[in-house]
Amino acid sequence: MIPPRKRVMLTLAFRNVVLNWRHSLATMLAIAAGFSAVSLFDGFINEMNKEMTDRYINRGMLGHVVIEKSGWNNRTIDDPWAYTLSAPEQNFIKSFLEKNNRVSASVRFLSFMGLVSNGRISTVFAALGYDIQDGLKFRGERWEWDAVAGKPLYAFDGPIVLLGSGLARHLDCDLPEDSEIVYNSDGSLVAEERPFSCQNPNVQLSVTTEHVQVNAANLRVGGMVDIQLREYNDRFVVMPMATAQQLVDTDRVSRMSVLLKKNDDIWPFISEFKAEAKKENMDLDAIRWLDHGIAATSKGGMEILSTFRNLFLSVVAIIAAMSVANTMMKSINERIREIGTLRSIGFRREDIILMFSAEGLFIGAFSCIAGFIVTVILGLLISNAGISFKAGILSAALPVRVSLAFSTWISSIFVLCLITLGVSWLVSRKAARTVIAETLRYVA
Amino acid sequence: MRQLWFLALRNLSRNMRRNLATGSAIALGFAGILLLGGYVNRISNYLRVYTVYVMHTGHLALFAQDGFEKFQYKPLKYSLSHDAQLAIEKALREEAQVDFYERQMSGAGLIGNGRISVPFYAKGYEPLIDQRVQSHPEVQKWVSKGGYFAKGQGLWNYPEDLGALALSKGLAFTLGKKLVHDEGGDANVQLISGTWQGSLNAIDAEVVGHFNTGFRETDNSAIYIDYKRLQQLYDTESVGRYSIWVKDIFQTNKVAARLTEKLKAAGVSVEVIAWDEERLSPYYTGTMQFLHSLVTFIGVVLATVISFSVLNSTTMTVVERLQEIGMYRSIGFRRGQVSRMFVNESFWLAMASLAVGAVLGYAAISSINAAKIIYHPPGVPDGLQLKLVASTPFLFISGAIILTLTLLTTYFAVSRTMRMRVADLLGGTRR
Amino acid sequence: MIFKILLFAGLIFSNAHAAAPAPSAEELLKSSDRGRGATVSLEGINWIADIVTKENETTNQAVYLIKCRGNDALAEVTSPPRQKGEIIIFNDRILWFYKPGLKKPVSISARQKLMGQAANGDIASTQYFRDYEGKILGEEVVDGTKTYKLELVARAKNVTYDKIRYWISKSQKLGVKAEYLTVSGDVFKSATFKYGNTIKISGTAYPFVSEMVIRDANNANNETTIHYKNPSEASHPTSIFNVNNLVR
Repeated sequence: MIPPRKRVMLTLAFRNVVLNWRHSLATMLAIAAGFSAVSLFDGFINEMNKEMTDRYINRGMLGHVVIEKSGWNNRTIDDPWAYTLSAPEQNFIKSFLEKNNRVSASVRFLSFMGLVSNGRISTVFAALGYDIQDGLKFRGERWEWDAVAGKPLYAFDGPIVLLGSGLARHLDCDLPEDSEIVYNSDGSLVAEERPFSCQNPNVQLSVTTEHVQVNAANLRVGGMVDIQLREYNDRFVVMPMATAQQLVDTDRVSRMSVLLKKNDDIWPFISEFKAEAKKENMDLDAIRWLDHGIAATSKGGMEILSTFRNLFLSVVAIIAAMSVANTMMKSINERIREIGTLRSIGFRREDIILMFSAEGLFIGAFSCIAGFIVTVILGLLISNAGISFKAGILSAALPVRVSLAFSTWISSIFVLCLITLGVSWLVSRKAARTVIAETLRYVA
Repeated sequence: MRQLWFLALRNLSRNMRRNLATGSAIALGFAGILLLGGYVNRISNYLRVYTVYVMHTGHLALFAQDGFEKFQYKPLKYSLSHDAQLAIEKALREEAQVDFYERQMSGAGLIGNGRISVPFYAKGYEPLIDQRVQSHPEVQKWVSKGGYFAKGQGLWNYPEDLGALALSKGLAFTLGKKLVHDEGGDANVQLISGTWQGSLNAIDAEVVGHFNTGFRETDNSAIYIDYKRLQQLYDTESVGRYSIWVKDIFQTNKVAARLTEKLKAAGVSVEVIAWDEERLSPYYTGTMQFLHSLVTFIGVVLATVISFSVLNSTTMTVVERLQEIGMYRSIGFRRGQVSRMFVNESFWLAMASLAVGAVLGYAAISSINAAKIIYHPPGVPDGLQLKLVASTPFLFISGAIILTLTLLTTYFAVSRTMRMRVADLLGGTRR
Repeated sequence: MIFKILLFAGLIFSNAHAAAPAPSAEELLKSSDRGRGATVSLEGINWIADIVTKENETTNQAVYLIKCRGNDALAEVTSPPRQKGEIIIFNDRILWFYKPGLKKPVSISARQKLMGQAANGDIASTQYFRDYEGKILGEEVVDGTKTYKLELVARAKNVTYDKIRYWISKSQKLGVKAEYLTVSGDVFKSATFKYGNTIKISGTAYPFVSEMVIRDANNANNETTIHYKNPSEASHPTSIFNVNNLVR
């Protein structure tokens, strides 16, 4: 319950701001612009973060947690099988995942290299085999269709292979022109079969198996994919897990990715898994996706954006503070007599300070409301403008969108209101201490 | 005229606190813009110099026709033969804008330590050009000292017959080559590959340095070596490409066109690609696009916030001095002259604030640089120091923009008041 | 009367021929290996191999002096002059390459032997009897020669080809054609053999391979022809196949 005296001051403050809004307009505009800019920027960063997270976790099927053999990072190219997951290890992991209620889905991956040939040209390839249906649970509707030409793997039965677009070109395949590859506004491919043709509809993949024997398979080319990184498109091949394991004659896999129901489950899941693996003497490791080497690029990029944001926010906050200080000083200067009048009828110094502080707070709050409206409008306009950018090494552009950053808004409102409140409090203190008689005689 | 300037200067002292607050907003905003500009200046120059010099891209890359795409798959067909090289070098010597050039090779094979062998991907340069590049004033200025080796010295420090090469760190680990040549121990390796004619061949090499590629995917297979050693390995006199450095970067495209024409006339079909074309330097172009967009956005916002701040302050000033304006008008000052006086006041305030902002900005830049903060942008091995480099042209340009905005904002704030009648002005209105 | 005796004698003899048992797969493999230099002499043999390799648009020719003893082989380049002195040693599944002046030999592990000369060397040095379990599937005529068709399955996983289809001539018991199959059963490479040479081992003359043509099943442009010349018995110390002795 607010004491009556304070209620009066707050009411006065509110009315002063509302009735004399023109005097504070420029300040409010400055604060609103600052709020809007910070919110838009944060919304952009959040959206980038969400987008990159979605692309790694879902589109790239990295999942929230990656399970590998311990020491996977130490593996050398000389012995690629030393750190793969054996069948018993896979069974242990599968059994653990089935019993753990944090898990939404899991998928296995097998990576290997070899030579690919179309009968005339041969070159090195890097392949990824994975469980197609499990992978679809990661990709969801948005990323389900991943073929820039032809059809995705799930549209076929039996052995099939998709080629990276750069590799496909090298193997004498004609791909659709860039303009013919249509994307939805969210950056995903429009789900339609885009025709392509290859001089040889099949390619031969030759490998040395786990047991160092030669194996080869003639596989039909079902389509082309666009891996997110440019360098990979020149070597990449993707196929169903069964085809991959048959080709390298193994029942091992390179890693398993786990999709959890909630982001917050990551660390609890990792500790539960590690404890269980230790109990069963399994030499396995569980790594958060962001800490995995595959996501290193994303992590570095987000760091830079955060640095920018902090610099930007600091400067905006200081300018906002200066602006408010300016307005309040002028306002107080003009109202010295009013202060004197209020003091003479019994209001105390702290009531005066409260009134001006509250005015500052209301200016801040109204500015933030205006800023919020501008943010929402501009945010919607930007998100629907269809702008995109390639951020350096990506082969497909990222859409520029601004998300509704509620937490940013709350914290920006809090910070800006705190600044306006604080600055007003500071500048009003001196005026409030002036002797009543002097304030009544004061001429501005 | 001079009187107006003098009056304006004197009037500044009349409301110090407000002017101080306004000036602080301008100063801080300007300092913020300078920090931003310093960061972008540093990063864009770092990336440019890294791309053009440290990565040996050159300002122009010259390939056999279609060689850019196809050399890696069919080197014999898409390389530059000895005769083509003669014609190319003649054309390069005759082109006044060419500063220097380099023959380069690239290829793959196996690298062994006497016990095991693993795949490698090699880039072959001219060691003396590498030395020239590493000691180039641009590289010294913009890229951190110590060059690109995590360990060891540049290949030019060793005689040609030593077969000096540098290994990526992951590859050095795989081969057990922790010590480089100068540290003693066994730094000897062998490179083996099929020649371009199809037979097997091998050469000796000596590890003189380690480096980081910055990308996990390439850090266990990359090597740098003298291009002549790769020619020896692949048993060829051909080269894969030329990198060309020009004297005036703004002439790059013209030089490219001239060279292409000249070589076409000499019967050598080539493709010449500029360093800032996306297909040659995708990382550079993509990053710069992104950075410029980001910085433009931030710059516009800061300028807007500063403008509102100035508008706020000027509006308050004008309202307070309505009677004074009325007085000036009544004694014969024209509207334009009175407006000019306020604008002049803003001018002095802005100039002083910009000067202070510049000092603050440069001080902040020095502090940040002295703090030696390290951050990790993608593709940069071992992280990068957060270093800002102020740019004098940027200082003047951004200062001029803010000054102009300030003056325009002031004029806007004042212009409405100037249309009031003298009698109303003299009557004045307070809050 | 005499005619009846002769006819009866002829029948007895022809029956005697008809009654001769078909050779076992092991016998056939041993005999065919002998025709290619394996299981012939305990001390070793030599021959000259003139190898012409056509890979896509390039042709390469080199002449090697081959020295074999048991499971080890050493191939030394004698021509062209620029490659003279280069040595390839086959030790188990690892191939070592050395050329004069190199400080150390370079290994090419089994994992890396997918293409080029290393892959062909693998085929040329295949030991069918030692490494494969054979089964006679039937008989076929290959290029006018009557052959036994065998299916060979690797005894262990440590050989490059999991299965081989092998046609061995009925009359000479020498390999005429082979198809090298991948783990999944597809033909990866194929080879044909001719036996125009003779080698004397401890005084006994045996037919010896004179030509082997290896073809890439996926690319008709890729073909290697090995001409075998001057096979002879020799005595090789095991030390010459020790890669450590290469660099002195």
